[in-house]
Amino acid sequence: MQTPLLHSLLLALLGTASLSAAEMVPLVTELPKPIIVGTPVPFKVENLEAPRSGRPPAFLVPATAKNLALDGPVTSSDPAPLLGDPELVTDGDKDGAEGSFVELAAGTQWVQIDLGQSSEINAVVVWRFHSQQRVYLGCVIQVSDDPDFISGVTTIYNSDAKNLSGRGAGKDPSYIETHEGRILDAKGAKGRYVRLYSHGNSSTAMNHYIEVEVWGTPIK
Amino acid sequence: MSPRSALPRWLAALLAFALALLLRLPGLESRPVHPDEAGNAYILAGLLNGDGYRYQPHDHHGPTLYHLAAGVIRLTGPARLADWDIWMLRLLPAVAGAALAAGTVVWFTPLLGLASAAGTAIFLSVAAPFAYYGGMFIHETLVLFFLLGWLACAWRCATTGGARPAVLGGLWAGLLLATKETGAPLMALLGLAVVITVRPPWKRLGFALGLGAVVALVVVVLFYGDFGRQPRRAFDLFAAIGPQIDRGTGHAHAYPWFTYTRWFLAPSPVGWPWSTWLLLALGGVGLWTARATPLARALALGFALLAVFFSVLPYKTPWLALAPLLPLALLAGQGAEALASRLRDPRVFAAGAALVAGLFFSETYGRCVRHSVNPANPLAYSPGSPDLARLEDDLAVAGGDGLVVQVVARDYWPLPWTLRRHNAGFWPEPPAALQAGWLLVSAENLGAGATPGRSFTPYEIRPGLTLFLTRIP
Repeated sequence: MQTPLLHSLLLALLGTASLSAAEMVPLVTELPKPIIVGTPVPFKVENLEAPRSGRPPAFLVPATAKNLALDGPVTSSDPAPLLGDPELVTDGDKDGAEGSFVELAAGTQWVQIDLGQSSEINAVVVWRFHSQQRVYLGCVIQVSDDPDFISGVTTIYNSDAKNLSGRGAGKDPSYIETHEGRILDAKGAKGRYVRLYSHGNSSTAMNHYIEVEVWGTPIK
Repeated sequence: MSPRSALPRWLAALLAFALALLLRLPGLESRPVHPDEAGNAYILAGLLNGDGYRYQPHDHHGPTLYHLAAGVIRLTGPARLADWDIWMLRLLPAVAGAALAAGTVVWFTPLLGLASAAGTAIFLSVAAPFAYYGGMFIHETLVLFFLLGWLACAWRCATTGGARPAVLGGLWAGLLLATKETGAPLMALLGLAVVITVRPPWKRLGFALGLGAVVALVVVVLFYGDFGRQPRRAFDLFAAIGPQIDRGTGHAHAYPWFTYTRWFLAPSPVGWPWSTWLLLALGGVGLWTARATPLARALALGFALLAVFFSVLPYKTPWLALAPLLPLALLAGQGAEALASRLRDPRVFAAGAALVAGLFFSETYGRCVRHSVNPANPLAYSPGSPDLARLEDDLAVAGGDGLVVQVVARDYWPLPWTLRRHNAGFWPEPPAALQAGWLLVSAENLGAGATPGRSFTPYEIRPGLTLFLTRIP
């Protein structure tokens, strides 16, 4: 291989010149070449949204709206999460590392946030997992004043095309998790409780939540 | 055969070649580059840089694709990867696809008749699976061309014998094995179908197998040994037997046995796979009407054996299904000829032909043009995304060629092709230090370039695989 030798000589010559002429030159290193691999295994999720270009679009909420979920009580369908506790969902920490998320068991699971009183909800912002490229499946988000979600249930997001979570099939597009989280328009839905369902993800059968914000205004 | 009587055959072959090429050439530049095409381009670049071809028994395929593509690149001019356009690479499979159609007429007219062979040539020209992979810089179309040549010779060896078909068959077999390892089971199963149907005398069979094997071995050794430049690699193909069996029965690309049926027979959001249905229907007619002929029975048995083999094999990619479709297309040509000869009313014939042509073309347009990289298209297996062109344009606007682009991701193909005109580096994990320039990172590596206020622009490089671009000042 002649190239590294040539590079070394050039760098040495440049170094000598810089000493004599007191000039600075940019350090140029050889960048690693790609490693040729076989056919990638396709990553297929039905009704996956098209990628966005640039910054996320602005989402407008009333000036009086605030994150009603922050530090609020959280319950989950999994009585003994595999990692973390449900409280992590509303602790304000959106870091992607272990210790910042709760991991629920395989299959359909939910977390439920109690806003303390019935509220008008403008948006739910969700961070499920962002230290790996993945799509969460069977996602449904519902709002209700009934803590058991039997009556008065409003669905604000449903990408569960195959009805994996048993809350009815939905047509909202799935999306790839990123550090930006996802703002979901709640369209002023009213309720005290917000419940988020999922049924595993494109990488594993587990369910994760880093943080959930519920932006809205309490109904007086 | 006299020159005059051979004229219609050669004219039909020429027409088939032109039709297939005409259907393939316009789209060579339009489809985003597939990761496998990008990998093959890098292997070809190594060959042209004087590194020779280094066969990797665990993953890569044989060298014929690269040697033939090197010839095309030398004809089209540029020597450096950075100066290539994708059509220069896709020209070879397009020509091989056209040669497949023409070869059907040349080699199978004496066996099936001109009308049947011409019908098959039309199917191989226009059917969506053949048209789709005829525009992709992968090994498959070359495999089919060599397999077709070998099949014609194998039939001659079994039925009439002689040294000429044995030598030619050995040549095609060698080229097939020097293209892709799957050539071995393809020849074994089709050969078995021929032997079961014809039951040639053992002496004739042994002579053909012996002479053909010697010729094939010479071709294999020449190609894998890089024509004497790498003699130690001459027998590497045989070292691939274990790894290829592991690969074929392993977990990567493993799908249930009915997957090919789903991919090639079930309707999808991009439409009905008319070509497979038509080939099956016409193939059925062909088998029924020509059931007394050994060749029709051999083709039907060969199709069945290959279909069962690839269905049972856990490893599945849609282009592997082209091989079973080849004998089916030969049967379908006979079926089309049989139907056409029975339709005495020219209006009924014209209406039937228009319907079949319409169904073929509508599927081909849908799968090869309109939905060519739609993940719902079963032919588009792990394709590149249209966003690659946007990334290329955005980087060109940012500073033209030669930018420092640092890619930090475990999965980044076909980006090396997209970034071929830049000074691009690829890390699976974040490097100790980043240079000034551009950074493209996967979601799990976003922390590598994240500083307050820095924005990332997402680019989907394959369906479901997004990388994020930011500038490092």
